[in-house]
Amino acid sequence: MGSQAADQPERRQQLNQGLLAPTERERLIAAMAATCAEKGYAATEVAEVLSRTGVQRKVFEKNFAGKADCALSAVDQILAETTRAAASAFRPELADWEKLLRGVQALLELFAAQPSYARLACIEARGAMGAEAYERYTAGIRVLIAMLDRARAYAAVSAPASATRAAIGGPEFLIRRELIGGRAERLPQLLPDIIYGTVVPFLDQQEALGYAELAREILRNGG
Amino acid sequence: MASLVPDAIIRMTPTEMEPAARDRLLDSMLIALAEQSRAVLSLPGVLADAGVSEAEFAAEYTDVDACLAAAYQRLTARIETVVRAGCESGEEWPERVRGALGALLGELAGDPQMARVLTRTYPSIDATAQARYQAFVESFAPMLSGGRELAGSAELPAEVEALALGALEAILFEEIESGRAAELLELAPSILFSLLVPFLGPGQATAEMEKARRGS
Repeated sequence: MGSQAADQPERRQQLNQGLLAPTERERLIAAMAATCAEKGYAATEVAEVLSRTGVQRKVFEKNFAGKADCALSAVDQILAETTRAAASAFRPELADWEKLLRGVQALLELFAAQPSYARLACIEARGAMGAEAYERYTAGIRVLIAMLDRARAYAAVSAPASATRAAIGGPEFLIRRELIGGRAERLPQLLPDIIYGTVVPFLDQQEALGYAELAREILRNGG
Repeated sequence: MASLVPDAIIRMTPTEMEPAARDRLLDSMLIALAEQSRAVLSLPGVLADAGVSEAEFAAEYTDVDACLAAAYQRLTARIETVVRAGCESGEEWPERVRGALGALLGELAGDPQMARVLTRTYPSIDATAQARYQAFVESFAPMLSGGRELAGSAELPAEVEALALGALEAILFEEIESGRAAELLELAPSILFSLLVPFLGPGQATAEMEKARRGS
């Protein structure tokens, strides 16, 4: 059951914009993400996904090896879009701090636009979905750690090794809280606080507050 | 003439559970969850382990999930009590946070199996269980808000307590998941840094981390 058109970020973007009609596979993945977001992965049954889409079981079985395979496809989809969104923000002409700020902003906007997928990647893949999904989650975190470790070059003091993981944990916690509370639309507004939490272990506190203020300015100016 | 039977027993119906039996049941539920997962958890096995009858169970809980929720609530309440006691051990705010953190890490390190039930096994059951875990972590926010007064003239972000708690939770989750729960106390100084740094900045947080390393 390899990755198909539904998992390609470019096609996803066109689907999100309503420029393409979704295939049955894409509808199944979307319904799996939505059902898992409502009930949790463990409590989700394929029958409910089929009922939501009106797709027959034999079509599901043709596309996926089972529930886990379908849910993993949804996780892969949002991870691919996250990578794409972050990469587009990391433009070489930008200063390091602005790359970070724009990358976080892109991620928050993506999660706000696709809360079911975000929940699957940030909550279900982390806890409920088993080893393969957890590996994808931790791989995503490792990428973020590598990106943030660049900020250590500017560190005012030598923060402990776990500080980078912890600095990502704060924003993750806020994101999970909003997703669990059904307030995904608020995520982009958290940019200033998230930027502060991400950089304060490595910079002078006043400097970190300054970056939070810059983030507020970006939001005031409409992004 | 006064009854020789204690009032608590007189009030019980024939199927009402004694507190000690309820404690055994809730403990057995969490152990079964840890060992078997929710999908295959066997109620008859749990009842047999706890020495509780089906009638007693049915009189108190609508189903297995209701019983699991009660067991989780009891677990989190016990941890909250221990952490609050640890928080009262210091005079200054950083010392109180250090005391609370030490108490939390001690609890988790002392029972790695329950630590995993707390952070992963139970929250993975469904969306409601996940929300309970999130609420449990958030319940420690008031213990941290005293740090705002130490930030001097700086106006800290509204979410600074949640950022600190998320930093803590991320480290705990990964260590427990990696099978290193028993060694959590060794990480106390570096976790303390991440809890304090959103309030104090890296300079003061490092100083507190070094004090914790020295045990002073």
